[in-house]
Amino acid sequence: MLEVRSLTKQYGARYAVRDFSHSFADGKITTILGPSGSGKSTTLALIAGLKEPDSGTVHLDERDITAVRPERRDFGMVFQNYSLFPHLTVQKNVEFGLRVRGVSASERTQRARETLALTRIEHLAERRITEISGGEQQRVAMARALAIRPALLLMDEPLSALDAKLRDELRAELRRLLAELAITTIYVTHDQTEAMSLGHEMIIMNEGRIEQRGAPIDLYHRPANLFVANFLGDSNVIAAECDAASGKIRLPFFSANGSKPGPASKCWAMIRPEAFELVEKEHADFAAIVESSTFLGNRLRLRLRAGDETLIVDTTNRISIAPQAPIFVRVKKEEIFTWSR
Amino acid sequence: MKTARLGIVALHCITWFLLAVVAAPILVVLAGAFLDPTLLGVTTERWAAQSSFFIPGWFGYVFQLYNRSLEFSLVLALLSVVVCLVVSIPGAYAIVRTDSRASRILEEITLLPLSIPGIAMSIGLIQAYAIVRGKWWLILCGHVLYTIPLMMRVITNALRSLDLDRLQNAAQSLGANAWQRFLFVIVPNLRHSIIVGSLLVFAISWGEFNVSYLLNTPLNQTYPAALYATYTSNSFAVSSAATTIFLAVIIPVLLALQWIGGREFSRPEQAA
Repeated sequence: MLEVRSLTKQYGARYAVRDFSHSFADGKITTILGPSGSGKSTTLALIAGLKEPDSGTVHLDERDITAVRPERRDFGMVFQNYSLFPHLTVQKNVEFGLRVRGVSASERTQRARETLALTRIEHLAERRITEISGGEQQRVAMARALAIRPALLLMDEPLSALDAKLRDELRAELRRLLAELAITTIYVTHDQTEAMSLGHEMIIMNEGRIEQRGAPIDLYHRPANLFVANFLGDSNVIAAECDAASGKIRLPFFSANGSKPGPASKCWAMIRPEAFELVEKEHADFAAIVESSTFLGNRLRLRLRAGDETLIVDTTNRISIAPQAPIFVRVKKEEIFTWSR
Repeated sequence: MKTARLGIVALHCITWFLLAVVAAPILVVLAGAFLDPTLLGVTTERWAAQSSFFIPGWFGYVFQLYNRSLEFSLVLALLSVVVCLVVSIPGAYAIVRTDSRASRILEEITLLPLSIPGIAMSIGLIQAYAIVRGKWWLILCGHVLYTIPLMMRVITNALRSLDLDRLQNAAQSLGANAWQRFLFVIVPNLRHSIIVGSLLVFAISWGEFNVSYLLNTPLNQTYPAALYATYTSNSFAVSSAATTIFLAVIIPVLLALQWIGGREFSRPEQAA
């Protein structure tokens, strides 16, 4: 098991990573999600040993490996830009890790072929890196990291250089492959869908710190703080008033008997776009005006004006709504989250 | 429209004229080397019938006369290439990797010999190493000093265009130690620049006159120095033949440089 304790890395006065501690579950995928500059890639580099922490330690199966050179850690790594060796063929790229370990030529070829089969690019073995597509390069990078049979797989935004359709395809395949190999994986990304769909566990980072960790579904439905609420998924964050005793939440445009009691009188309320329903007038919590509607394929996204607030509301794609039309909205009360402000 | 056409015609004329100016001496030399001198009217000298089918007899004479110089210059040029490579690859790597103020100053110093006249450098070498004056390897030192700035330039530029950190990190994560990274990743990715730099160094060393002339001894005479001697003491036919031999070595090298340069430009962007 990989465990990191209080990893800290500073660049000048700025903390890139601050007091990062976590135990990564064996055989599971842990995704690290955060905005750019949140320290997620630095964390990965610290675990890989490519950067040295200012303080804190990295332990693999109880052994402190903080001082072990990266080439001796046996961690497979897949980089954002793949970092393939342009002077070698696909096959030789995959063999590289075995070659520097002094594995015999015949065994090297054998194992490289096996790994290429695993990532489904056997037919590209003799091609040059410059002759294959981005998606194929991604597979080569993956095969190259897996060929050394790493103790741990570290992936740094491995799909971010690909177009959306290919990314979806490869993400699904990556999921299958990693499940099949049951290899402990740390996967850094700024793409929420990727982080939520791939991760058994998800860590959200901001400004070098861990904001929240847990199963993706828990993070989405029970954000621990305003940052996570804002960052993960789309949300409406509204300045409201909460009464801790009665659990009442007073929004600028209506009052709700929220299920979560607010801790203080002044609070932030967070409501997801899918927590609203368009209803008949008699069931409505409040009335609003449609400012605009955007067709997103699987759903219709509305911008509503309720009092002075602008709300994002998602609804089914099967209705048509004219701009400036009055509309009646209900909120699922149990999906209002509050934090003191 | 009409003036544009005229402009193009004028450009063509200028280009061809310049080409003719450049090519004329070479053509004259070739003519002198291969045609009967009496035919050209430059001499009344007659050569015995040692000529084989195409090669006139005076070529044999030149080989006899300057065999040693030819060999010496070839060895000198090849050794210059080797020494430059051995010094420049690790040197350039160290400079690019450290990228500090000191390393930039060091880089400037390696370029310094470019701005020193060959004569000054030769005198400097003689003054500084008077004790080894006349040794063949002092000439080698001169050639290396003269050519190393170019090699350094070529290699440092190539290293800067590589994404060193990325390649290093990838290799390191795969288990390669510093030596393996250097030998299996950095050097192979420099192969193109190593070839270009080597050809450049070879070409310059092969044609270098100033340093060679001032440092040469009768036993260690470079081919360009021999050419100078032949111009001052031999017939036009012999001089032309000697020059033709010089060109026969240098022209393929220049063509190779041209060819590789062209390939460089047509090469697709390195994706990885």
